[in-house]
Amino acid sequence: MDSKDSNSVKHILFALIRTALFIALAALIFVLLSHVMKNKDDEELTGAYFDYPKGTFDVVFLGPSVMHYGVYPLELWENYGIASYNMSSANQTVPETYYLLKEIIERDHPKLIVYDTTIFKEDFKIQNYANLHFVADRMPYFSENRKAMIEDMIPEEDREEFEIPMTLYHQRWKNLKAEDFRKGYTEDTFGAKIIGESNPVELVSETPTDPFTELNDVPSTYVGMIMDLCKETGTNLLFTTFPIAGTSDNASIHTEEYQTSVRTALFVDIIAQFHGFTHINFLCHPEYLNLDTQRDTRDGHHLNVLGGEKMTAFLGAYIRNNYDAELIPDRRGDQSYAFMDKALGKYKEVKLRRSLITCNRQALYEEFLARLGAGQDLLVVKASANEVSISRGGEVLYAGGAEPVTISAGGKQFEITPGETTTVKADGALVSQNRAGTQFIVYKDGGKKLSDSVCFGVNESGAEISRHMFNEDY
Amino acid sequence: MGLVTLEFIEFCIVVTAVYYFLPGILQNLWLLGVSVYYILQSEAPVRTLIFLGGVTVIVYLAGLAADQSREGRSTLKKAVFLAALLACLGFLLYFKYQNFLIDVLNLVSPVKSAAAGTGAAVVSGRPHVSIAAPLGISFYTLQLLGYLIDVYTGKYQAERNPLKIALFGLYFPQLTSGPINRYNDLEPYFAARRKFDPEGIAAGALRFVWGLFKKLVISERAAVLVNTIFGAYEYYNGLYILFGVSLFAVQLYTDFSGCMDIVMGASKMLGIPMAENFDTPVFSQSVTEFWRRWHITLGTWFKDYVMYPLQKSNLLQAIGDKSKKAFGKKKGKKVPLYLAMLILWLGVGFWHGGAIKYVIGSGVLHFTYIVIGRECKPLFDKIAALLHIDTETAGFRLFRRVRTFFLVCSGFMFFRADSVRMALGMYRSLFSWNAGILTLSGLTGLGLDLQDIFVLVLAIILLLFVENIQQKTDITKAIAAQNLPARWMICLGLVFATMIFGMYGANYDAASFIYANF
Amino acid sequence: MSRDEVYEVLDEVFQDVFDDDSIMVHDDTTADDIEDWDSLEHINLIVAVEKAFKIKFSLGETTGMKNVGEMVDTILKKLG
Repeated sequence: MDSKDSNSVKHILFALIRTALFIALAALIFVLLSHVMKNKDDEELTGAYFDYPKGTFDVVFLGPSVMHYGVYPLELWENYGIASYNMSSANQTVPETYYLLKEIIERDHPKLIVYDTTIFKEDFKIQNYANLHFVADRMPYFSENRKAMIEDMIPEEDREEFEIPMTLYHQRWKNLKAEDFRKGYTEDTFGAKIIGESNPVELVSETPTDPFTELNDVPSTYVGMIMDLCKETGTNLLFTTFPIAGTSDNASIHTEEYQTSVRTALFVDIIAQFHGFTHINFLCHPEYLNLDTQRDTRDGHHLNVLGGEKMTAFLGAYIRNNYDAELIPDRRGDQSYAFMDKALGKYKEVKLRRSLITCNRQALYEEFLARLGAGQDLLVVKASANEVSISRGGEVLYAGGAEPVTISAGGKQFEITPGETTTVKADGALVSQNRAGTQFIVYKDGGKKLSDSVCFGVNESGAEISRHMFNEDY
Repeated sequence: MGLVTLEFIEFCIVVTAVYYFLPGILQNLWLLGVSVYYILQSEAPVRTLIFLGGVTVIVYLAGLAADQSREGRSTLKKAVFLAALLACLGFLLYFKYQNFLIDVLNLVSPVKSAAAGTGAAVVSGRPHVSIAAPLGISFYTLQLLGYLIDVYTGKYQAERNPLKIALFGLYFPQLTSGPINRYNDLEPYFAARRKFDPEGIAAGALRFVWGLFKKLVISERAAVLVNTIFGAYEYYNGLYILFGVSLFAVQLYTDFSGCMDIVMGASKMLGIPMAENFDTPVFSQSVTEFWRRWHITLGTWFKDYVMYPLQKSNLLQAIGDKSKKAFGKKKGKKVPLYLAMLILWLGVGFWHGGAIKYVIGSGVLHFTYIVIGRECKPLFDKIAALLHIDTETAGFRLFRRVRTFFLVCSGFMFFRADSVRMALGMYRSLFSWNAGILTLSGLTGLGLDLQDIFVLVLAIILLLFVENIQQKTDITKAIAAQNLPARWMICLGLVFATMIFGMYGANYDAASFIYANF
Repeated sequence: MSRDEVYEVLDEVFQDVFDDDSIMVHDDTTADDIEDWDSLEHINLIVAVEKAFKIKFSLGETTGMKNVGEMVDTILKKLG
């Protein structure tokens, strides 16, 4: 081989190596970018579940949004030592649950699945692609079950956004936030969505007299598959049907929906019994939870933080009373579960903040500050036309009337001017300004970071209104 | 298979990867095979294959028969040539211009038919038919006829090797939108095995990505605004129209030249350079110059195969002689020249589409500007001297470029509008007062929000920057001369900028990801 | 005809077509060197050359010539 040939072979070899390195670098950037661009923390959904070691969680909650709003795994941990995770999501249809469940069982084999049946009365495989993303995006990319789910639910020409999420999420470049660049999930509530919004509801009083309604084809098939899966793998399955109360403004529509829900729940009673599973039918037994219909829900369907605490407590006690301690052990004190203690501290902060920024009633707001905020170093400024008060950690630092005040607290200089338009400035920057009503400005860590700024007032018709300075994404 | 799809990218990768492992003739056979596959993925696959294959076979056989270099009666050769020419043009007319012909027929011999139910005779037209045209018929017809004409007029010998002619006809990069190649340019590449050239492949790949960037980031984005304005031009009048047609120029250029970059890049990766269709047209200082820089292969095809034969024809020579006698040498020379040019521009306009708007917007209007430019040059020179204007300054060059841009846009108004009537309507609309586009709400109310507009502006600035370099030097070489980190940064930057800012993919609506009840 | 004789005739043709008595062409003269010689005037030049030498250029030859030198080569070939 003369030198010219060997040069060109060497040349080609180097070119190929350079190309391979380039492709590797490009692939790495692609994977990182895909992660950044992916729609992550909306809805407090997180794929972090699959990042934990196999078999970590003994109990997994599945189902549609009512479950997502109603169960707080870290409170089950705190009070009962149950290691659990909430993998429910908005409009999670039965087929979606099936594939997700299969993935969870194959990987982790949890001891107990708690599955809400509120979606059973629908007949579609998929509500819309966005909701399917809530499930598909959380599953490991190379999972066989994820692939099967996509092939089952989506026609071939539409699969691109699931097979290559970048084709869909690249458009998020306009909405990127700092959190998108962080690894992991910084506000992990273990899948629970917590809100402080409270609206009174009228309980629909018609007692269920009609017989049950059988399930439609889609839910029927997939519920069957879910039950078979649990039996084959020896996984305990607990059905629930969350309570739905009526709402006074759509009474007529709601009545029909309510009746269908009730009849479906009665049918679930039957199939559960037939297959040897338990069904807790909250819908037909409101006495189980004893919800305060004036306070405990956002819209009747979805429990708020007060309702959620009750549901969580009920389920915790239920699990302790009905499942063997060897099956679902009390894992408090176990070193390998220390991460849950750690998460608990952060969780309480998140729970408070989420409750505050979605809260629509002043009385409830102050209740949250006192109860949920206990033990947290909160700096709270309260201002209205006639009174001003500042407190820290529950202790009042200043209480005054309608006179303007400049005061130092929590490392910040506050200038508060009550009047026709009450303004509050912190270190010269305006943090709250309103013409009527009562304003709250809440800082965490004693004043270091602003958690919420809200004004509660009353409109012309006398109804209570609230205005949060920051929207929920903050 | 669209050019701007993942499918096409995968296709090119596979084709190229296998290509360089193949020895000798297998390389050409592989190329032919994948080209046939490409054709079969198009909208009217069988029809395209039949007619493209048919025209290729006709041209191949006619070429052999009409070859001037071999023995044979010239009348036979002429007959074969004319028959083949007419057949190929006939296919083109049938597929692309059938509705135009129907319109002409309706004009010439109207058809009376009874209106349903009334019993009265009503003059109505023969209805339009909808025939799917085979992929690229406007391009391959010209390209293959160019070969036939070259052979018949003795430029080179007919090609005996059917594989090379087949490749000339079916080679997939040129199928969708050209360029219109010449056989003598491509033949040396088909004749020899193309060797593996890593630098060439890298340059081709980069050019491919640049094309994707132009198309997805600029063209598709600009299209949103253009469509809004053209879709409601009475509402979006005044300055909106100016803005719209200017942006359409950007959209059309980045779309067409972006596609060119994609196919040229793909072809370069296969070691076969094709003819350039664009040479930084934005820097043209006159309409004449513009057509040396825009859709170059179309212009040169019409120049070589329509204009020159026309000018040399006995008829036009005779007209020239007569007019020289009547008007003197200088003026007389112009008559046949402008006559030939008019026919040329009618042809170019008509090639773009069988509708009057194309004949005007891509034809007659440009003819007019070029003639005026030529005739008025002495006048303009005198004016400039009188006003002491230095025409060599950068400022004056910029003036010429801006003037040329708007002259070209005046033609684009017809090109983009649905019809001549709509274009004229838009011109009327242009002269009413509406400066809403200069306000924030006016600008962001057209379908793109401020962030998208910002990206569009930045991308156009990048485009101008790159084109400025391209008009001075070979940018491929300039990039290749950089060190590895810079080269990689350019490549990766372009790839990911296209990936993130491109307008493609499922319709992401942030709102739909917000909590939905249940 | 010799090459020089061809050039004598050619100079006259160029001077006539482009209306400039000072034009002298050589082997490497191209369209860039003469002000009015653009693609539109090209045919007028070709026809004038054809008339002057009583020859006919083919279409391929018309478009294929790169400079005057090649034109002269073709002329000489056609003159026999």
